[in-house]
Amino acid sequence: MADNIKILVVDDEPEVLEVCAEMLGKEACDVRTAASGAEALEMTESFKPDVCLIDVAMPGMTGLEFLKHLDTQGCTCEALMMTGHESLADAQESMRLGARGYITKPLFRETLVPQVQTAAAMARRQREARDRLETLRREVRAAEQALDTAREVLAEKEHLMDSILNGMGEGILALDCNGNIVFMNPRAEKILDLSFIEHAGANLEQALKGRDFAPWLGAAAASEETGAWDHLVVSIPRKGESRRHHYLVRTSGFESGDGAVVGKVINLIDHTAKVESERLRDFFLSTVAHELRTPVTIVKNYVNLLRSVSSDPQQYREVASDMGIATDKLGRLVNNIVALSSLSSARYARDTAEINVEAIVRAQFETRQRMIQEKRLSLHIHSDLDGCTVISDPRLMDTAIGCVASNAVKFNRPGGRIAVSLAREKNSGHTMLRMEFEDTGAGMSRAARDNLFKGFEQGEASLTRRHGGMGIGLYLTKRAMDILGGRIHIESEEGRGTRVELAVPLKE
Amino acid sequence: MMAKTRVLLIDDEKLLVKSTVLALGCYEFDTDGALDGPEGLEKARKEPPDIILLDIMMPGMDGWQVLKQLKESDATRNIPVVIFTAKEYSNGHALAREQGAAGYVAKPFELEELVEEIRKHTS
Repeated sequence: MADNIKILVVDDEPEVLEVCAEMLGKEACDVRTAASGAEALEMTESFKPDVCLIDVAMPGMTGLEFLKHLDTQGCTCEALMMTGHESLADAQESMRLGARGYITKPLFRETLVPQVQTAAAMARRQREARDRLETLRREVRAAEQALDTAREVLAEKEHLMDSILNGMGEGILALDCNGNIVFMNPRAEKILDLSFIEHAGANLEQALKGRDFAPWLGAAAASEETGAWDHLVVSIPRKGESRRHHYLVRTSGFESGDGAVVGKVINLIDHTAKVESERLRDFFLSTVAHELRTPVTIVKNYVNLLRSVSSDPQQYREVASDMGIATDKLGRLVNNIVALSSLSSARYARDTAEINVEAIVRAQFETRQRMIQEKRLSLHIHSDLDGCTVISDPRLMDTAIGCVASNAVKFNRPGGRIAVSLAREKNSGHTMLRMEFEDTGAGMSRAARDNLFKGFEQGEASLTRRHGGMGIGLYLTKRAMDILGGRIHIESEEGRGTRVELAVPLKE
Repeated sequence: MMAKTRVLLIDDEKLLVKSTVLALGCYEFDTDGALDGPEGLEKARKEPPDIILLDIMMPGMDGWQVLKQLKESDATRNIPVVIFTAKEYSNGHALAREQGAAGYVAKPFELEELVEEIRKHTS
């Protein structure tokens, strides 16, 4: 039913209407009739015919006028004009007006039906084409909307990106492979005192010529490296201030799809706080340490003097002895604080000297002689070194051995034992110095042993609180071993004792 | 009787010079002190000692400058110099050697250690 051709026949003669209805009705056509153009017009809207069979000669509205009306109405049917011989001229005129064809009366099935079917097919095809066009139009509109939405999202993201770049604390510069400025965020503009608008496309080196921090560019801009790398911290004066800020210059190449470096992104990261804290540490290490050490040295001198003064020897000796202990402790405190600070630093400059390890070991236990005697500890030092010296950093060895010795004495039980063995060992081409310290002390639990090396990595603040406690001592030893490229191994059993093994690679 | 080893101590701390001079006096050393670089250089040139103990952190001319001048002058070039300082150097021994000193003793020191060091360079 849906495929029935819809035909509207318009003729003032009822017989024509009947004949058409009859002939076409048999051909699976849905036929309606109208006796006048006016009547037909009322029907076209709702009926939507595929084909209109129109009598040319009608009273009132003629076939041509009806055709014009159809056109105005926007009806999409095909029009076939029916004409008697008299109005052939009209029929031809109607063809000009867009009718599909004309049929001369009288009507015969053999001519009428095929023409109607052809016209209908054409009408159908046209309708389908129009529908397709309409669909396409709708799809285009939808695509355009999607594009608009995408544009909005992109604009939003760009805006976000801009806010981030503009608000960033880091200065960001992008250079092309010729070192010309492709992008600068506001922070970079401020740091370098350049304007992106003014200098976009300009060569960075040229733009910064004459500034005292310009040399670092050579490395950053010209470097062929890929990936990301850090350069020196650059000190750049703040505009209008005498103060300088320190920036870590981080450069990364950005690559095109085939791996060629097409440009560089340079980050200027404010490093001032870090630099200042390192300076503070340096100040502490040099000036403060120096200040603390001078009076200690003076007192030590007098202590030594007192020991050898003869009048009232007993009293003087006791005073001297006590002062000796106090200043020794003070000296050790200073050394520990200094060691902690300098060994914690990544930049420790290793010293080299010939050292007598056995002498260091003996000296470290010697300074704790009083406690050894009070606790009645037996100390055994066995050495395979035969008085030979080794080449190493005297202070690191001193610190490492001192901390272990301190623990062996401090945590030992009365009547306990300390055994030290020193040996030179060769394995797989390397010579190692092995130092073992065994004590019959309090030992440590597994948890305590695991926490041993954590030291200040945990961000613990108070030096004085930790000083002298076991934790800090072995932390220093571990750090010393790390710097020397050696290792530390600890075995311990609570209530039984501890064995600390230090191994240090030696230069042959 | 063997002549006493003559030691010149250059250090800006008055009390330190005094106490060290006294302490070393208990051994076979005849110690004189100078409170700054210029005074030390003058004394070293006038009456060359057997060994110089040289502090680093001094106002005006610092120890490294004094060392340089000692090594530049014929009169004092061959006097062994032991750097004797409270300033923190993690690589003090190496640094001292690099600059032409014979040894390095950090403060505070064990008196015996200092005596050993002096004897080492003046035997």
